[in-house]
Amino acid sequence: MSAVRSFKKVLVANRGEIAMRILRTLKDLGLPSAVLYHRQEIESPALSFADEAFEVFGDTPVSAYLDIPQIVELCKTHGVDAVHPGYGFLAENAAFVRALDAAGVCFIGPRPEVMNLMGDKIGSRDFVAERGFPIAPSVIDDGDEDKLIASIIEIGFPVLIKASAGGGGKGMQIVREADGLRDIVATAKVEAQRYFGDPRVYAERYIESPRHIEVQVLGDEHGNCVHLWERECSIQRRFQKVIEETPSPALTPELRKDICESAVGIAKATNYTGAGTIEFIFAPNGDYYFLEMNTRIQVEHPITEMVTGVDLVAEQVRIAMGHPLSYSQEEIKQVGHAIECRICAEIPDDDFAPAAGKVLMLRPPVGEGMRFDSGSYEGQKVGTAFDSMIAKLIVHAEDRDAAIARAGEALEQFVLLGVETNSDYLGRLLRHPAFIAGETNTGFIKDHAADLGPDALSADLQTAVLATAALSDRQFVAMMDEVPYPYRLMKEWRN
Amino acid sequence: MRYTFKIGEELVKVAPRSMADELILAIGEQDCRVVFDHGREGRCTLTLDGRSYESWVARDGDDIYIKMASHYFKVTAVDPRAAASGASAGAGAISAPMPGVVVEVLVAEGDTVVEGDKLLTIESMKLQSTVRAACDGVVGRIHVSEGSEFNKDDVLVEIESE
Repeated sequence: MSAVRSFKKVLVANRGEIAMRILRTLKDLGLPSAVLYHRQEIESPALSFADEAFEVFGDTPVSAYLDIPQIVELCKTHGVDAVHPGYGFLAENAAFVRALDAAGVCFIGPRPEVMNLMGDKIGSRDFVAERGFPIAPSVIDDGDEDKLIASIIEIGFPVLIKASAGGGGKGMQIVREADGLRDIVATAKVEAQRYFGDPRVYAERYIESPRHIEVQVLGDEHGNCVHLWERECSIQRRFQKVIEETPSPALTPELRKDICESAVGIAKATNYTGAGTIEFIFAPNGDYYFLEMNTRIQVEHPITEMVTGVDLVAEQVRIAMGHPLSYSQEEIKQVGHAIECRICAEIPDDDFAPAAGKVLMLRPPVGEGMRFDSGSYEGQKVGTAFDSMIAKLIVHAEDRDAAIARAGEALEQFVLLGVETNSDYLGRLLRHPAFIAGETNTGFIKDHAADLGPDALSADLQTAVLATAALSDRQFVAMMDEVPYPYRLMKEWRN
Repeated sequence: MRYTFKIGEELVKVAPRSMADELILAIGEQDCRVVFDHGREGRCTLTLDGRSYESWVARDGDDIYIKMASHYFKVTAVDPRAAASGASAGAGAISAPMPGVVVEVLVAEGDTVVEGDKLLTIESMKLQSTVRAACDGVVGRIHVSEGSEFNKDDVLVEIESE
């Protein structure tokens, strides 16, 4: 396409851990960097880590990061010639890419046409199916009930039936046999009309106990496209990933090759440029189906970096500059095993309710094969303004067992006081026999809820905690000081 | 000379008892021999009846956050005067468990409520939850209205017990 270009100043249009992550690579590449911030985040370490920081304004902090005209204007004012969007916010917004194009600023990511094509749930499925890649068999109601019933039987059971116009779980049901199908469809149509004002229903093959397996791809302007192997992200709560790993314990070498080559085929068919992820539903019998494509860097990209040694953000930047990929497919090896744990401000034992507070103490784990990606800092107020994820703990080791053990050690070392997090819960997940056996699926957290509750704590431990609390409390200690003698055994307590 | 700490939902009294060379703390019903080293940068070591416990400790006002034996704990020092006066002060004040916004106010000032009655629907981090009465009584002041934003620990509703 065009000649190789260089960037004079790259703006990271994001915040938190991913802003820090991208800035680190910009530094490694020797590129001048800038980052956005909202007033609430004036103390964020990203501000001093970047060469420059530009304030964005908005009614809410999130709306500031979504304000396309304001961000484009900042680029023009400050001589920014490339923007890395991170994930979330404007990362998959084609209008943003077009606005940057119009201002002569390079968007580090795919072209807007590809973003639109793959961002559309139904359009992308059709595109993928037309090119011969597997999608879950499905049928959309066109009003002819007999035809619909026949098509559902053809899909095969179990089948998931839902309102065409509906979202979420409302009016969804799983049908396991053809008996009574006509009545179920009739009822579903009545409910679809009542809830969504549209009687049409949609049916697709229901996959029991599926795994979520996705494949990382990179494509350049010169027609090269490679995969960087898979990630399994089956451990989810509320459809959000909690633990990701690579390689997937479910794939044989043959299946791995097959699914990764399908992903490259799909990406190539779109002339994909940049980093992208093809997500698949993986059935227990080894069948897999295209789910969607994410046209951005993903939260869980570090595990791929750990096993391949490729800096995905650096590749994104180089591709945007017009360089060919730095690696051929044969050069990208999957070495060892990596696991990522997402540390979120939430209360797992209260149905993952969000937690808030002030980070009083933060001690990242340090050691061989450990990586800690975070934008958090002591004194940070964790509130409702942004996502609940505050850090990612990533480990790498020679095999899966060693990686699980290392993740446990890293969680043990990690300390975050002041805000409740899921870090205890992550430890319980990692220690669960089914997880250790690699028997994971997207229902894991629900299916094993009974085993994943809090550990019973001994009375001795509670007594030790109370003693520690009392002797750390200023007023308690002051009160003791007023009592004549005995506390000379308390060392170094002068606070 | 006693002090009260809240751990989970439990209130436990802790009192120092003096001895010649060692510190004895009465924790609940139990007397414990204690040596405490406040260490550096929040790393503490406690020896309790000969057993050693390492912990990380950080304080924020009356709240003491501890990581010990790979578990996290929050202990709150309860004001001695409030505890002494029968803990009635502020008992009916219902404060926000986390920052958020009020979706709906379900009671009016003067309503009679029983423990567990729904008072407010609130939303935090895109999740809705219900604020319930912690005791029987009459709804006193309601400090928020629909759409009000609040911070953690802000008083939302007061319940006057009968």
